[in-house]
Amino acid sequence: MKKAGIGGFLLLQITFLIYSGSSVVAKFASGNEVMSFKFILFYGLEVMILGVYAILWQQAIKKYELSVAYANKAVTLLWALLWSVIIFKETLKPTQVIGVLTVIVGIIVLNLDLSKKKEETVPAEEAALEEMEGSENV
Amino acid sequence: MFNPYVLLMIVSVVLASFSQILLKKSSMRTYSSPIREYLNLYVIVGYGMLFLSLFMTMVAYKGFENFANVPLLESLGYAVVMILGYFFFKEKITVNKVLGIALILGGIFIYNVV
Repeated sequence: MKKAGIGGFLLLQITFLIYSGSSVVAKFASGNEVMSFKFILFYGLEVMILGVYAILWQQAIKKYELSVAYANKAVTLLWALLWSVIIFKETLKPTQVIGVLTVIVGIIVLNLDLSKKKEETVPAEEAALEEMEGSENV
Repeated sequence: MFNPYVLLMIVSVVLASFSQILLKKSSMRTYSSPIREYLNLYVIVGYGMLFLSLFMTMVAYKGFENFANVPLLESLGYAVVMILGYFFFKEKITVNKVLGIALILGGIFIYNVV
């Protein structure tokens, strides 16, 4: 399996950022009368966002272990928290902040698995690959 | 007392987890065109299952007095996918994965329930 690298990681995170938008428009939709123009507009937008998410997700999991990629989805809790403050002006409970922070620590621990694996298996081939990746970024 | 909606949620979560297995299987193949990456049996059946799972979750919401229990049960999917990943793709169950997912589940519990 190919290594995900920075690009793969960004793709994964952007995929979840876009996904988090679906619940925002869903909330906008639910604020309107069912089948009103705005309801259909927001609902359509939600379906569109989920479609884009599905397209990106299929690309994102190519370079990741499924177990790691899927658990990264928990980051949407952070986005949900941000949107609730920025867009919906909701006030936060301290436990919500603690919960999100705990989730983020969990995601970091989970993702550390990837870098650790790199160190454990350092065949020459992979070291060379890493070098190539590095030079690309310069 | 046993809540049948809990069973419905468990089926929903397992279904959603299996749908991810199909999507991953699709992504591991090479295709003649980009369209084929999406229009193939794995992806179509996978999203069919996910759709069914979403529907079951919506129904389950009705059965829970405390709505917060639903996302909590949903998040068990991370652990289920880890176990399925081991059986289907030989993805190792590492300390980092177990600890990371435990923290994630704990965080979601604190966020929703506490």
